[in-house]
Amino acid sequence: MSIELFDLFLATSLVGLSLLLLLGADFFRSVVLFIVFGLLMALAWARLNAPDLALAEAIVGAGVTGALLMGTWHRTKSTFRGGEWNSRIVIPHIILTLIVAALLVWGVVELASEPVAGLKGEVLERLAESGVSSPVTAVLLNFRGYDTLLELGVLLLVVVAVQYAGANRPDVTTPPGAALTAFMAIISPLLVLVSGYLLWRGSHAPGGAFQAGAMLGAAGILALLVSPSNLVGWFEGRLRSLLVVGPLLFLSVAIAAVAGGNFLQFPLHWAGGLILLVEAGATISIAAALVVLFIGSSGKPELKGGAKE
Amino acid sequence: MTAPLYGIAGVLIFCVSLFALAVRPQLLHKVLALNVGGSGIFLVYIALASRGGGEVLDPVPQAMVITGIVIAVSTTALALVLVLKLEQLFGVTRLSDTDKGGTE
Repeated sequence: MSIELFDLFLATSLVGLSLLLLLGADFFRSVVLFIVFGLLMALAWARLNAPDLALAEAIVGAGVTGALLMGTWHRTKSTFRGGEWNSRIVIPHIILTLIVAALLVWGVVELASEPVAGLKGEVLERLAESGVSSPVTAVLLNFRGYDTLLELGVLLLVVVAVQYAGANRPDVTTPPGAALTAFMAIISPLLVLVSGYLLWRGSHAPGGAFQAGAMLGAAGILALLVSPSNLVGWFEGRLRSLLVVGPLLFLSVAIAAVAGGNFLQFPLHWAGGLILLVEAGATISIAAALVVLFIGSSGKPELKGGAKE
Repeated sequence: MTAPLYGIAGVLIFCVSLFALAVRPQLLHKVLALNVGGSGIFLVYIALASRGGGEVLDPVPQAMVITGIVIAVSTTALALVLVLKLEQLFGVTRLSDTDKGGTE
């Protein structure tokens, strides 16, 4: 029973980073450390043999979440006083946290020493029937497709809630720096290309709709930072169709599957093609949703009286 | 031995985030704490999933955590929009400490 030195270092760095970023005064520093935390998490997922998860964490957990946090902080900088603590309750809370931590660590160590097989065997047994050869994609899009369908629904719901909370539009007043513009010129075709590759690759190797959609969304956020008026103009008329194509496509395929079996039961021969089709729709919707969420959490408010650009 | 190690790390991250959530009054700090706490919970979950051993991790928990990450981003985005709206309407980014409620 040995611990690899790398794992020990990684786990300690993760805990140390979480302490630094949550208890520090400067929020900007906290967000930067959060992005580093996300990347180290991606390494931890890789160490735990979860490459799909590592991809998703690096793109969405570190990248997009960091961008969202940074955007909102920038917008609220003037009223934000970072170093505050609720000093009356710090000492009791430290004691409470230590007790809870001790109990939970004890529980986790007990749980982690039981050898448990999990569902890996069952999934690998039925993998051939799913239409894809990656076990994670098979679980996400076929065996537990219901979860993914509802997840797309939740994403759409959050977009509606964000729009309902009050429309924002992207900040077009600050011109982008030369470095960002040059970087964007090089990176944007690569982002689109890698996104398409991840989408196609998801059927037989780590990848899939969420990673591809998040990468495309990241490309959209970068485009917003560099030339917002171009992207917003292109988005305006198409926004609803882009957001809806994923859930609608998945739902239609799920209902159409009733003809041959049950709701969401992909017919055996068509399963691979249908999964790719559904994933393509999901990629577009996830990308559009992430861009709308970024505008919502970092944009300027719409002018009173409903004046729009 | 990696399962208990990452499990303990995940638990500690979660406990630190609970502490930060309670003790830091600024809303942006709370949103950050929720996010980090979510990551800690995912770490515990996957660490326990890795008990099975071998080259391939149990795909069901992995798929669930991928879904969880996307949901966490959505929740964070909505929370940030609400913080933004609060700041635009009331000019503060924290909740009131007094019992009267509102934004002091």
